[in-house]
Amino acid sequence: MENEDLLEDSKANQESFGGQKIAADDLKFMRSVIEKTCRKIDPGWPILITWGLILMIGFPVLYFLKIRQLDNWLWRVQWLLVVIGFSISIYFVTKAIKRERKAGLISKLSKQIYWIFIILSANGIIWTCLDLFRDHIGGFGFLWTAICGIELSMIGILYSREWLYGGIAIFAGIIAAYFTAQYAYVILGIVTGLACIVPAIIAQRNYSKQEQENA
Amino acid sequence: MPKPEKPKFDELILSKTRLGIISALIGGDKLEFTFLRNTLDLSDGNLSVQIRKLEEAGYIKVEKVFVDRKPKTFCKITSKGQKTIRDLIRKLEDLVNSD
Repeated sequence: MENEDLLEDSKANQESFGGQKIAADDLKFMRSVIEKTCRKIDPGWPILITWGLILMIGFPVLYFLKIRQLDNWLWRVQWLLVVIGFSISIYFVTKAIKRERKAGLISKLSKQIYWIFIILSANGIIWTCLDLFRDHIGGFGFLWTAICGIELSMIGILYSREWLYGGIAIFAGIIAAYFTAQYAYVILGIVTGLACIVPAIIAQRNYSKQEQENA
Repeated sequence: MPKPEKPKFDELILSKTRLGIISALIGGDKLEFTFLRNTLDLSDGNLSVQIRKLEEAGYIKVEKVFVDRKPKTFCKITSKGQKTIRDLIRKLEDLVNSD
């Protein structure tokens, strides 16, 4: 009787070990498929480099117009910067969406990032149209720098930490610009420009490296 | 001492091929038929059959679109599929960690 019990226990143990092995194999298989398919998304560096250059050049131009008291030109240049920035962004985003569709992988993460960009930028445009920023947050430069800082920080949290450092650098730049009012736009332009360009280069380099490894 | 109850598994999802498809879609991305076929190393016929089974069970959603005038079939996991795969992973982990 005791022997029968032992035999039954041994059979149950074998069955249990077999089940454990199959379960472990299934988990291993799932992990390998997830690793193959959850690729890092293309960082889309041309958009960020373009925005970085626009801000680096545009803000000092605004500063120059302000100290020369060319107020009539000031708002025209502000709108020109917004229109150029958005035209280029729409062009690159459309290209990126087409590229994803062609490759057969439409990333959920890139969709989330596009929505962050659209919502924050729409806020910026509304504030610019209504001229709300003038008295409340110090000016056009501060408004768009803050929007850029929030966008980079959110991309940093969702995607890759390089962008988060860019966002933090922008917020530090805003504080520095606030205390050096005379050169505020120059500081904002340089800091925001670099905060967009440097992480874009690092993220693109990391992405290319990973693509090479995956190939 | 009473033996612990064996976990019940969803047989439909336990097949290796279907498990592979659903694992590929777990991140929420939309994946195209050819991309899935190449990644999982399956034949067209086999993949079509398995996709249909998963679609009928409500685990994935299939969307047919034209890209550059060519028809493409994209698959996406549903919330039911997400829940099922999470349950499965939990049960498999419990089984692996059981004494």
